[in-house]
Amino acid sequence: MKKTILLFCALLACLPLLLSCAATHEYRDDLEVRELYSLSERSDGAYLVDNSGFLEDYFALPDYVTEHAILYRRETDSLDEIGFFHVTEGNAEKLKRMIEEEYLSAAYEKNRDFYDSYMPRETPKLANAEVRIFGNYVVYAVLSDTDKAELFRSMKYALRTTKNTASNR
Amino acid sequence: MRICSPKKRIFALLTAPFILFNASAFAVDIQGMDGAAFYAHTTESVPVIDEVYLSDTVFFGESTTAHLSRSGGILDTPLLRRCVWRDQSGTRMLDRRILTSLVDYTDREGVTRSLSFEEALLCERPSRLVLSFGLNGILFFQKNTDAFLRDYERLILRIQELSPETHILIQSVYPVRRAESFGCDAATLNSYITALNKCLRDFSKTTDGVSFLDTASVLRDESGYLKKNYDAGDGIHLSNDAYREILRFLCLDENRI
Repeated sequence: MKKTILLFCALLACLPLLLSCAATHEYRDDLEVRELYSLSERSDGAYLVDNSGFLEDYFALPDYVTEHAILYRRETDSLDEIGFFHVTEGNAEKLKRMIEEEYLSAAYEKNRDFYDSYMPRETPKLANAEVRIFGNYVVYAVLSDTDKAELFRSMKYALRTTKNTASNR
Repeated sequence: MRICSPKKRIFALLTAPFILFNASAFAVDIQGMDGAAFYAHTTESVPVIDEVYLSDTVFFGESTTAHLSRSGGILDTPLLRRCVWRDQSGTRMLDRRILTSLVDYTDREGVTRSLSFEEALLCERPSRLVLSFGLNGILFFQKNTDAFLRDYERLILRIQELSPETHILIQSVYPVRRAESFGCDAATLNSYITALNKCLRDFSKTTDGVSFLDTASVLRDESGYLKKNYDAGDGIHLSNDAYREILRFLCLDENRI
């Protein structure tokens, strides 16, 4: 009995140490946006990059966006588009909502008559566009479901890190 | 040498003035065309198209522009097909991506490449560039005219930067006969088009190097709808008769640049 109690106390004492050694996933914050889209494997020339106000017709980028780039296809019958943003701490959720409400939904409504007439197979990409948060990075994708899943998977893999190896900008 | 009989001489003397008069009238018709090759007819119902004038003109716009050079289209000729800058999709919309959007560009040697609009403009530097935008996206543009004009201005400024000698003609948006694909009735859509055209006219007046070509005025009937014989069948796209009329209008003396 005494041995059991002693063993229990020893384990209890070791608990904080065990917990502190456990791996918790956070996200890197040290990549520049251009490195991020290079990792998305869409820097092969098929996509063009715009980082100078692509979204200005929809909303002004807030000050907490420190860097951004929009990748889009040049073909007039493709809606493929990806947006990469880096924000200051605590603002990712705000930007995500802004992109969803003031850009993606608005862009769909603005162009629906044209897209539905001329490229009905592309319209679902915009209607089902998604925005994901990876720490201080926000990424939106106007892509097919397959391409979207692959993109977000690659972003997660590229940006995810353990707590004890995370580094800051 | 055989001498003409008196009867033949009299016949020639009587008919010569008639022939000479018509030939001179004919010559007056073509003098304004710089003596260029043309399709000229003496009946008013068949319009004149000036190939030389058009061969140094580029048309860039939506599907109603692309159809100028569709198979069997009015500009589907070896000389003039290259004047219509389009791609396989046959359409585009005026937005921020317009400058980098692709066109199938055919150079003067007949070689076709896929280039961005900007790249094609640098290669061609045409004397005049006819722009036609506004129907695609009109439901948004009629509520957000500023955004539409901002995109147009961005396009024009870049054209002027890359090819300063090119004169730009902004075409009015063409009227429609039906509007089911826009989710509204034709009368409403035509009212949006009329309002947008007024904005385009005012915009062109305040922009250097830009003229407004009110092509819509020759395409609509008394009710403001696209004329029945100009409708290709869906109420929006145009027949070859319509395109002939558009080109005739473009080639009129008062519209020439």
